[in-house]
Amino acid sequence: MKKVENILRQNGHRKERIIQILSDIQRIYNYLPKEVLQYISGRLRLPLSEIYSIATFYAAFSLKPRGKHLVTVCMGTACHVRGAPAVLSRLEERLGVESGGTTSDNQFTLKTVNCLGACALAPIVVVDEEYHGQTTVNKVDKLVKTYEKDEN
Amino acid sequence: MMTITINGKRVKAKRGETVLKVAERAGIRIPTLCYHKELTPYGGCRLCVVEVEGTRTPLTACTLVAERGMVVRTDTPRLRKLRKFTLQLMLSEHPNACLICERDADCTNFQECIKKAAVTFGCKSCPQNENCALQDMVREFKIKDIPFDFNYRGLELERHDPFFDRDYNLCILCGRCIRVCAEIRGAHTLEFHHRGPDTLVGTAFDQSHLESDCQFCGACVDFCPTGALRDRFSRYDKPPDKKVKTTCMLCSIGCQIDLNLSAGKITCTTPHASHICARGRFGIAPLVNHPKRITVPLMKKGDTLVEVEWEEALSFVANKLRKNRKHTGILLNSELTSEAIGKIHSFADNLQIKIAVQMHPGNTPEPLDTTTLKGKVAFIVLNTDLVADFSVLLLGLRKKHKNNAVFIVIDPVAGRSNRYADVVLNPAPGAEDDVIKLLSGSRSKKKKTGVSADAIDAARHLIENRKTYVLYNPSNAPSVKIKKPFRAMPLNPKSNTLTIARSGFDITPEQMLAEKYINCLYLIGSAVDLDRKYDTVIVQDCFLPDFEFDVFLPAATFAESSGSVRDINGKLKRVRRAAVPAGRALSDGQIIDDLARTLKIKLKKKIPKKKAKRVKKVLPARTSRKYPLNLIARQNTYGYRSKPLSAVLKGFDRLREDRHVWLNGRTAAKYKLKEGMEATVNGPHVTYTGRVKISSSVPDGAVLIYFYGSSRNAHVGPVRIECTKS
Repeated sequence: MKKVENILRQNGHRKERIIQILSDIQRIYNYLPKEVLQYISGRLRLPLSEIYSIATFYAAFSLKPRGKHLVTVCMGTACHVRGAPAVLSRLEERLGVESGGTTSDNQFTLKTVNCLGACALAPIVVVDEEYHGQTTVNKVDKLVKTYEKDEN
Repeated sequence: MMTITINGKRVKAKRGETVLKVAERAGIRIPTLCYHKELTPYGGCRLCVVEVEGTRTPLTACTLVAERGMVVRTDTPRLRKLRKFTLQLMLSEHPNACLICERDADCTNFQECIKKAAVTFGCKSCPQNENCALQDMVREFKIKDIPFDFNYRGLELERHDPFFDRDYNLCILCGRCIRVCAEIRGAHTLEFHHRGPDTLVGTAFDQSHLESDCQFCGACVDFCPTGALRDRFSRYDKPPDKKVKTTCMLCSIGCQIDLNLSAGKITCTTPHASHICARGRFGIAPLVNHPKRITVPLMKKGDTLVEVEWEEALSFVANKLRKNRKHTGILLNSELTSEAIGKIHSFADNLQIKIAVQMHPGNTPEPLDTTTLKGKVAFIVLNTDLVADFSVLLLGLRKKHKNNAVFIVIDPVAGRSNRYADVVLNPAPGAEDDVIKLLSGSRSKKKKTGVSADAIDAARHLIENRKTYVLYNPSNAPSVKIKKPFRAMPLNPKSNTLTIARSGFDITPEQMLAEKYINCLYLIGSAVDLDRKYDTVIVQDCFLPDFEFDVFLPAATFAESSGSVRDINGKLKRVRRAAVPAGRALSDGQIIDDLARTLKIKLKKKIPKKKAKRVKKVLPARTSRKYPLNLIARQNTYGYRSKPLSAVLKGFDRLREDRHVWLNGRTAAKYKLKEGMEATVNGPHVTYTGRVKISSSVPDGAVLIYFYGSSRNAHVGPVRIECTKS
């Protein structure tokens, strides 16, 4: 909670900065733990229902623990026509989880997003804020391997 | 002031007024669903779209602020088409089998679906049938088909919380419940979740309403334009055919309510103009129609209770009173109409019977009117849970002072008050008086209060240059005396306390129960424990008492009597008879009249005034080795006459949990107690048994109980606790 208190101080305990606060919290915990949200609700005097509403509205926030690496597949129009669904299904196969799920070893969370605004790089896959443009089905294995290797 | 044109009609508009309001005032109707006059406009349902000259697209009238010279059209073919389309989109997710059925009328007559539509898809099984804004709208726009696939969300009916059910399959996401909960009640229990087609209304983390600090005021149910939220008690009743305006007597605030009747039965309560709380909203109809209510006179013959005629019961009582009047005591509860109280006093006076009233002596007969406070004010809320016990009073204070009033809460028990309080001070039990003295500026005593000097300073800074009132329930703060510069504002939770405070009493209830010469008791709605044998016990009430008695006279509830009550601010309010008393029950005034006739005595009209007696202040005792724990006793304000609501009504036991013994985790561990065990609290003046409930809101070394009734001394001082059943 000390870290959370730091975040609140950095944001001046201002409730209008809730989105910034939530994303800072998510950076630490990798997701938004219920206890932390209850704590900041009391500190900011912001109703828990409102915080929950914001946390569920934005796809960027997760209320469930996520894997160490977050794999985001863009499913926007440009990516879609250039083969994103095939990339996604290959990823699902390779990681053994469906979109939105987390691997049992807590290493990868796979999710989709509707457009990243980087259509020139379509189809695009983002792993931990690193952009991998023009990903093809064949490149998926190699991509996953690099992050798995990272682990070892 | 400016002028705008609506449908060719020139209309005056105030600065900042919305087009919808201007149109409403001019008698031009614009269809709405998500709009409600008490709430901030939301512009969600898109039914109020209007055309404005000079704009490209139609705009929502509820959010459109009128401007000088604006030319608005509210009813054009294009708008009608748009509105119809919007409604059809809404209906693509709202069960609509009956809404668009051409045989709707036949079905209503024969109570059977010809098309065999599933129960969940039709209106006929919906509790809000014929009482539904969406249904009205569909009829108005004559929608007979829906050009979209029906998308039933298949959400589970939520019925694990008390009082009302929630079927979000019927929800049209108008957000009225969310807005009333946040804007008016300040509870913030409900919010939208998720986004787009997945949007739902609900609580944080999908907790139950009980866990989400819901006050169960029922405002969301009353504001819902569909059948998504429905009152559980009245769900099988027809829509109300009659509404009777009366005063709620389940607490002293005296809210104006409408009792809804369907074929002569009280089915539910709705607020009349203002807002109400859980007691009034969900307590009255089930109380009046309670299956365990006794509505016939009963007499003990031998060892059995026998149903008798009124004459027999009255002549028995009259005989006893005539013979025994010097040894008789009448113990009176305040939850009666002023007229009935007057009759009882006059009756007792005539027979020279001693009278005692159930109220805390800390109540002044002349109260401060909370509605007339002006200027910069601050409120110190002492040992009283305003949210649970006086929520409507709190709403009024906050509305009147436009959230400019300062609230400082002093309470050893950490409650829900941090929602509205500017400063919360949690002193050690018994140190409340010292904290108030410190706040008023005295520095002489350097006792340990458990509150930091910084917190005191912060609170003092806030109340500087403000008129400061101390709001407290005298029963919860027996050792506290409010002195200048603060002004005391005692809040007694029981209805009509002011009338019984004004008419006075001969002895206190404690004396009456202790005096050996009194061997005949006449209990009128009073909550007592009898621990000795009496020659005769007469009970006049709605439910059977827990002790032995000789005669039971069935009394009508306030919903079945007429008269008046004096509210917490001293204002006189009318109580109207909404229904005929159940069974053979009679109103309290009628019973006294009949008794007087049997005894051949005449009752005077005027309430005789007795001098109120001074009662000594109770000093808090210190804990000792024998009694190591501090008792915090709070009055259970949820009740009617002799019964706490939690004892007779479903739901209130879960909402209040007032029959438990509350401890914090550390104290419980010290005395080897676990949640759910049965424990007995013993003190020099108190014995109380209940199940252990663990809560971090109770301070260390203290035990919290809720008592019902008004015993004064019994609930102060140190106690010990023992497990009696694990």
